[in-house]
Amino acid sequence: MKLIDALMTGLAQGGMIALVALGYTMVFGVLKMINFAHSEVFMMAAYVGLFVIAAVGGTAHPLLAAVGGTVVAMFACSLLGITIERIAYRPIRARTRGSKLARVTPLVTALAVSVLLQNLAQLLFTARYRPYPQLFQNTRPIIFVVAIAMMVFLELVVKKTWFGKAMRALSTNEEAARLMGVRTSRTIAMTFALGSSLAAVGAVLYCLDQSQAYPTMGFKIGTQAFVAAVLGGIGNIPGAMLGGLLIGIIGEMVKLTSYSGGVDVLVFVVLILVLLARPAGLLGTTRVEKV
Amino acid sequence: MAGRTWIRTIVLALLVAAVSLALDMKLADILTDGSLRQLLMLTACNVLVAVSLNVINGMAGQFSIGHAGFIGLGAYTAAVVASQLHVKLGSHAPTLAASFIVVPIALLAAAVVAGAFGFLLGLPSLRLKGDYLAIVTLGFAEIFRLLIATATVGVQDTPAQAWSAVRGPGTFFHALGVSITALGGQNGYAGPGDQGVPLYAGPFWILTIVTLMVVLAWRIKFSGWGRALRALREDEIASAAVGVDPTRYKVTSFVLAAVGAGVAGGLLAMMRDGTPSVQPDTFNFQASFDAITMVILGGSGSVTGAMLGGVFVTLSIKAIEYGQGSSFVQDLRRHAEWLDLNALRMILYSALLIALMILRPEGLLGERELFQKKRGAKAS
Repeated sequence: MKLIDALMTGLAQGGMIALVALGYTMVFGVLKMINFAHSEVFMMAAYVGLFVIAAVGGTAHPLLAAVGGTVVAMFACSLLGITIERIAYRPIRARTRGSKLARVTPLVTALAVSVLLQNLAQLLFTARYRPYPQLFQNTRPIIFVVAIAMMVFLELVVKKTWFGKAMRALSTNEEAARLMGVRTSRTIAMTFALGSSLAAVGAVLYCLDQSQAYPTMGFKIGTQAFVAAVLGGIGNIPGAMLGGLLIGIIGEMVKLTSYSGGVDVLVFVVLILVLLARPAGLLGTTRVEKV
Repeated sequence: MAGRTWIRTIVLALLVAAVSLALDMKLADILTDGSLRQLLMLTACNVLVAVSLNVINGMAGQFSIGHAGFIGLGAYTAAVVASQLHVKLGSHAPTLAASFIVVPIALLAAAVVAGAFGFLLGLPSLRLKGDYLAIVTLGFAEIFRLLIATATVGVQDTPAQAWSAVRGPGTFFHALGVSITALGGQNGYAGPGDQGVPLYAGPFWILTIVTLMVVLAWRIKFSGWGRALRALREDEIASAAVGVDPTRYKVTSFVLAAVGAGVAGGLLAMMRDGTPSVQPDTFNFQASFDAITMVILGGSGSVTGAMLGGVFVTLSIKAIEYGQGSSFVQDLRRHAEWLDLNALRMILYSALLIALMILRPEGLLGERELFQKKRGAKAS
């Protein structure tokens, strides 16, 4: 019974991690860079959600508050994602294409954006831990259902729409996609918007369940989500979902043993093992580099 | 000619040793303010931090963002070793003579431990293309910090008892947990019985060792090895085709960077006029980010640039700390609770980095050095 309980919790946790992991993997797919700022987008979404829920009236209208908070957070974070891409990443892309610093520069920028947002949150909201109101009695099934629904929605977007096709084309070969008439800049911006809004859903769900928002909250979930993306094969969308669910379940299983504090260490060990044994991830494919 | 340069090198080395020895004895008279002495030595240590990170981030073109983890490893190792030796030597007040036994051994231990962990992390992540090193080092640094800060295994046991009871994997992990718990958790490590870490490293040790390591970094840059690293950074496939083994070069330079960070951490832990304890929170992500800022600001790949960056960042951190404590800012904060100068500094730094990346991605100096050698000009 305890095992089934942990499995359910793990699935809910995993679904939420997967939502964040999708953002990492999609941006990596189109830009081949780790968007370190993604975890900070997650954190900002938690705050936006919190404020909207408080403004709507919180526990008086739980459903309205939760839906309203999620939708506004999604919208705000799409804007934030697009802004980050426009201000920080796009100028660098234009400048460093083919230069020797093409690898380090985006990383430094992403890291700097992350630090900037985190400290901005510290100034705006102070370092205080802010509790989320308890909106529902049992949040786990809701989290799981919403997470699965979002993934199905994403799968439809990626497989069935023109935008999804453009995104896949871009991640396979940017030059060829451009020549075939894909507007790369717009597609990249939309990828950021989509990834950020998924992270926003994840953030509100996370806070409804664990009920605290603070400026450095992005780090822990961000690391787990990144490991999930690598585990599934970074750049691979179903891989990120699978990786997220696996990380969530593994985490809950570890909590059943006496080493419950070791989840973060274990996540890291998983990362090292994946890198050693199968660097392309579970569902990823290795591409041979041609000169 | 060759003989002449040898003599010059030896004379210079003796000069550095003599000056730092003189400072070691007389600094307390020249600078009567203890915090100024501390600032001087801290700056030297941070220069070493920046120069060592520059080997992997600048020269090799890889990206480590967990440098604080290696500094922390070095600091804890050196603190433990120095404390144990201190007890063995009879717990007298640290003297310069005794420091010739304690400091080399403690720093060697710090370097070996940091280097070993560097190897363990670098091997899987540098074997691959892409930015795996970044995320692995980030995770490592945080886990190192969290493990020490939150460990509460067998608080009553002593490590010696636990290790002598090892019979299998279970007891092994228990003993490991007890040892980590003995490092003091969130309160920091302050030697056995909380007597404080003995502060053996005076200006003599700090200045000579930092100078030695900076010279080493300089020699690496202008050697065949440095050229191989540069070639790898520019085009990995092409350099592999002409016989430069990418993994070997990248992992060795990562280990070297870790060793440098470990030594810097060891010096910080034993620094005279410093605090006699090692706290886990000193080695948080912000410390790693500061190290990156030092390297990038000065110029990725430039040894003197990294040194400049180290001096600038250290001074600004200390200035902020001073400002935060001043009565004027304290008054302001009473009206505006949100005013956090440190958060403001991080915002400014990160905005500066973003702007720098857009306008001048190679940093202020780029790869150039302040004092370009004639031979170096040809080499680069």
